Amino acid sequence: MDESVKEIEYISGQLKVGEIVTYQDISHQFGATYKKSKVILYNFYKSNKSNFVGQFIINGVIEGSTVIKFIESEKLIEEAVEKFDKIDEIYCYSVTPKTEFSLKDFAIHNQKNVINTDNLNYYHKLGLIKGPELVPVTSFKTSKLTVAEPTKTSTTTKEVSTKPKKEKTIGLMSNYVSRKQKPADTAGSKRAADPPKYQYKSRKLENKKPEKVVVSNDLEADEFDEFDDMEVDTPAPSVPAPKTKLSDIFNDDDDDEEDITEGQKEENTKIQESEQEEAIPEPEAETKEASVEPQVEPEPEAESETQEPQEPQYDEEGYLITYNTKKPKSKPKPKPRTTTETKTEIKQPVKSAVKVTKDKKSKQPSVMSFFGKKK
Amino acid sequence: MLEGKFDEASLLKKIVDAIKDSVKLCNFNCTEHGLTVQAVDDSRVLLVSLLVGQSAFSEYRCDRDITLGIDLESFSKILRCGNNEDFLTLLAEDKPDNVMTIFEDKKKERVSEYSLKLMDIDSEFLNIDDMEYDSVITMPSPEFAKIVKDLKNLSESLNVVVTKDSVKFSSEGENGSGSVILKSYSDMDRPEESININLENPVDLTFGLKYLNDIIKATSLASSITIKLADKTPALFEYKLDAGGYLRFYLAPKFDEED
Repeated sequence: MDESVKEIEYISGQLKVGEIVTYQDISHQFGATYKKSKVILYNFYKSNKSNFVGQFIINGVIEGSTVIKFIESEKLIEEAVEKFDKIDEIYCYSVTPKTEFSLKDFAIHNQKNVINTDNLNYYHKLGLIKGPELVPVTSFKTSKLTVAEPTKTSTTTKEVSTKPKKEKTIGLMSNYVSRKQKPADTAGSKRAADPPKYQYKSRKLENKKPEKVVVSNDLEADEFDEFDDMEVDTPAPSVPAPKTKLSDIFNDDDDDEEDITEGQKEENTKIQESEQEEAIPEPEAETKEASVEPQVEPEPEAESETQEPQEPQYDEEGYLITYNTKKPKSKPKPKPRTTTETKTEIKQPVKSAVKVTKDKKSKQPSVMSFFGKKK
Repeated sequence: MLEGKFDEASLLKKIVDAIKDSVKLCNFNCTEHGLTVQAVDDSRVLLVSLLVGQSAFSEYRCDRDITLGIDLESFSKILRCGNNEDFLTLLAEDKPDNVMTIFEDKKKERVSEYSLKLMDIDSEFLNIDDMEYDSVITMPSPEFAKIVKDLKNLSESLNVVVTKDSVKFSSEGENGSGSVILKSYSDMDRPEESININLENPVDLTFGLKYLNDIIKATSLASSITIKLADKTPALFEYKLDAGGYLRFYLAPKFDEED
């Protein structure tokens, strides 16, 4: 009885602190066998049912297989027992205070009372289940055994090694799981929302077009001369060239040639006479001014010459025209010279530009000097 | 654990393409708010600051702050493996050795994944305070890109002069010079086409066109660019991401040696 008093004092002391008390604790503490400590624990629980909760373990058979089931309180034993086909043993595993304990708590508690494996015989005496003695397996012994055994081991190792390979090939390394369906719908809705933006584009284009039309009409109405460059192809019959006071008469003659082909032969002769008179003083006076204007005009002339290389000799009084066709060929040559003059003018600022760039030697500082470092 | 899923792979592609010419290696800092990058180019003239907000992801989870040291050239090659419309998911462990990039076709049952080894990159994190700028220009990003490309043919430097309601971009080289002048312009139908110039003080700054040429590689990220300028301070070129976040470039201006 003295021993049982000590044990009861130990149990109640542990429970007061809020600890779990298992039969193993009692056994290890007092050197009592497991069987005896189970009885002591159960007796304690029976007399203090109202204050503490008892946990039980049922060993038995369910559907042909042995099962060890942990029951958290006495109330649940009846339900659990019904599931068993055969019951070998029911015993009190532990007693706890009334506060809730999870299985984790029991596992943690067991960690505190680990069996000392160096002194297994002591625990065997207490009632620790003793398994068959381990026999050291040497390679010789396996070779002495039947051939089937090593082949089994080899096959099992093969299975182990092949399984992970299959997993690698089948699945993704990242174990990524697709969640495609939901986002696909949102993407669809986004796409549906896009089209209106394109509609705005079309509106803007419509606005732009009429503006351009208005501008172009104004220009045509105001000045034809400035439009010569723009409309080289279409307004050819309008013959703006005579008005532009070209440095030579020859341009007009070329235009006349075109007119002649259209059948205005009588008018041409009058124009030629009048223009010859006017044209003679002009070249000398206007060559200075022409340095600006001819830059624009020589091109269409050159084109007209290339287009009509043949000398037309249709006119009744067209002797002058044959002379004129020769002259324009020589005339275009000096005109590019005027452009070369302008080129030389452009070169001058280039030199100054170079000077400017040389003068402006700039430094490229680092960004780091502007920002403070964090750390 | 980081798991960030983009609705379309094209966004991350564009981001990486936009900065990979400026910065070769950089740390992607992943937090619960999204991805951030801060990196400086080799010559330390251009600073890149990126924020991809959480809203830019269709799904985002980052349990702990993670730093992904990424070689952008290699990452760009991986990103090219996916189609623009694919879902793109970035996966990384808490202390990752590599980052996983997963592409998923929206229609077909095709999933591809690529693992990129990460690098330990030493980087100084700079404290960039909100600065007060003398002038702020907002303009269409393609227009700015065209100006830079055009004027790059003439010189190595671009001069930006902002005066009342107009900004002049000009460059002057041995073969010639060129300039583009823009004035404020508002388009109600297409606000992204508008040009807005806010001026506190006139600005006259010169920048290296080599760096500006790197900056305009982000043009596809946003329809408009905001340029913030102040005297003798780095200019800020900002592309706001529609999905949430920004890509900012801070470029140090050139100074005359006399200064």
